[in-house]
Amino acid sequence: MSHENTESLPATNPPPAHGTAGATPPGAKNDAAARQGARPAPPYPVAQALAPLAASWIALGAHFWEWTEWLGVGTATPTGDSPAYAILLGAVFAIWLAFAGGAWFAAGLRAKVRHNGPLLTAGILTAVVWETVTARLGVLPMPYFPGPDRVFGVMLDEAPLLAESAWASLRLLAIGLGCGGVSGFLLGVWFGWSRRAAYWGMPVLKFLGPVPATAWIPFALMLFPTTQGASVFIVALASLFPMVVLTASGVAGTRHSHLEVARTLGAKPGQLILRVAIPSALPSIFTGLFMALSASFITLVVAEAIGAKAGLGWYINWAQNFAEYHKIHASLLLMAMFFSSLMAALFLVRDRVLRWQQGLIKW
Amino acid sequence: MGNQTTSNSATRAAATGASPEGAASPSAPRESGAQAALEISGVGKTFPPSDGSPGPGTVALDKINLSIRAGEFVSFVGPSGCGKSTLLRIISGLVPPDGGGVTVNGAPVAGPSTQVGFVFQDPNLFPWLTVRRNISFGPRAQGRGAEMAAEVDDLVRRVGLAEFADALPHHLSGGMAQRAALARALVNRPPVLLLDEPLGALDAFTRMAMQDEILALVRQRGTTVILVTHDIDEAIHMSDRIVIFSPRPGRVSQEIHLGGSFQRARNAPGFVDLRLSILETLHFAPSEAETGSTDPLRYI
Repeated sequence: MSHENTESLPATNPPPAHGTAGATPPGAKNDAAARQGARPAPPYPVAQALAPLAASWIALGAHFWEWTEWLGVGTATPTGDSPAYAILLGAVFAIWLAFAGGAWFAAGLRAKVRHNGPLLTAGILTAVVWETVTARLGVLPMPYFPGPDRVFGVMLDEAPLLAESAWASLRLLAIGLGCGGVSGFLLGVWFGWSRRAAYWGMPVLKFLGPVPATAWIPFALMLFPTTQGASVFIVALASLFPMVVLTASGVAGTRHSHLEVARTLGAKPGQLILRVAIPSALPSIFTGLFMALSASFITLVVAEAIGAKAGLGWYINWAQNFAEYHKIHASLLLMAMFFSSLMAALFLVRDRVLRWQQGLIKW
Repeated sequence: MGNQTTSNSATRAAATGASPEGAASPSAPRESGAQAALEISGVGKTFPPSDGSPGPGTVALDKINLSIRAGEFVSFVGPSGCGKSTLLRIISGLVPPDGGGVTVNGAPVAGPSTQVGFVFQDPNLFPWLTVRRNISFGPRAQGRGAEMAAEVDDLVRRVGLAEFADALPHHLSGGMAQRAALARALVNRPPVLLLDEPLGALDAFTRMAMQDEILALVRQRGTTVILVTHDIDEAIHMSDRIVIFSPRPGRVSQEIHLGGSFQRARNAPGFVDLRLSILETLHFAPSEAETGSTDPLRYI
């Protein structure tokens, strides 16, 4: 489900030594610090630090120098006049220089330099290849496949409109996911806890749940006076189903022995739900949230394309209507950044909330 | 153990100061004036056949009568399936009996309450809570978390987990986890504490150390304790009274009062004799009449 956590895990939380009677002290941080103190600081990763800098110089050179003309190859479509791509490359160079330079003095950053250097280098070189096969050599047909300068250029030129679109999408997502997620969570707890509720509720859910949320669009448009209301409704619907199912299964799967212990400690039913069933269902609830978020992204883009007047889905649809392919590329890139940031935020919250699970379960 | 088996259990018991009683007689409090903290009267439990067929079920407990003094430490021993764990769950109120009833300090048990603490064989710590928050679970669930904070801290220290107070359960060894579970059960100051093989999963040394720790904790608080155990040494070492159960249907087959006079140190004279006499009652050591048959597995 997530690969990003497994990498950062050993650094923050060294796995307990299993041979030593399981008695790992609680101050795992102290332990790690002690070990780090005992071991000499890792050597400076020179190659990993320099590679991105070299790559961004190559990219800048390839962008400004008309090398295809000099070699006499390609059809040499003129590159756009927007400075956005060059500014971006310069910014990447400057930021990495500061970061890698800082790691020279702060040994703690070296692992990050070692980890991120090759990835960043590959990313920059991909942009070089992209520019070469599009703007320089025209291997990919031109209006459909613009070069990075045009795509980043439009992102800069239309920054206010794109920001407005991203904000509209975020708002719709927050309201829709909020309504769907919260009601899904509450229904899930109810269905997971009460057999009777599950008896009547789960069949309805199992019957209607598999219908794709987007199929409800005509129904939603009929039900709501505004397209905004209809969009919220279907985004909520898309997130409701996975939340109910996974919350219910998590709550229903609470270990019987934990409930018995809690009862002998004087916990009444309300406390059993709040203090035992819900915490023990949290891993499952987070899986539900992950699925709800994925489902709501799909629904969001479709919902915005049908009748909204703002949003990332609206923008990409609008760009398509005017055959502005560089805008389609720009909005795809922006959506990738937008949705992956939201996912990353969810995983960050999960890793904090479910810290107790690390060491019990491998993610 | 050849020649030891020839001596009879009554003389051994006399020599050690312990007195076996018949199964039928409900145990009378041995010291006059001692108040019964726990009264088990006519408790029965029958489980339906596991295959769901109508027929008669398994009689797990058949009209158990026991009276336990305040502050008494009683051990239940007996072969697997004799219903001693079921009886413990009935006393705690987790499982209702089919017949009879249990009273704690005169009040009938209708469900789990803070009057009866329970420590299970598995520590069953909540994995999402730190040691301290596991121990303070009871007070917090009752909305008394703040006023009991000092009590919680005191218990954390008493069970030797002060430096692990903020550790999560998966960082604890088996013995530490069970100590945390014990503290969690004791924090409500229950007048009655039920221990269902709490030390069963621990190694022999941790086990002996924890036997003494438990004794110190409950003695100091005057807690009435029932311990279910398969370890006869543990029962002799810790108990004022040992109740031996026989299986199918679960019945009390013998009670042995060790009382305050019995010297229960593990190296005390008479310890081994008493152990042997209990094994004999459980049919794991051949008695005089049975020396002919040698297969110890026939009773399992």
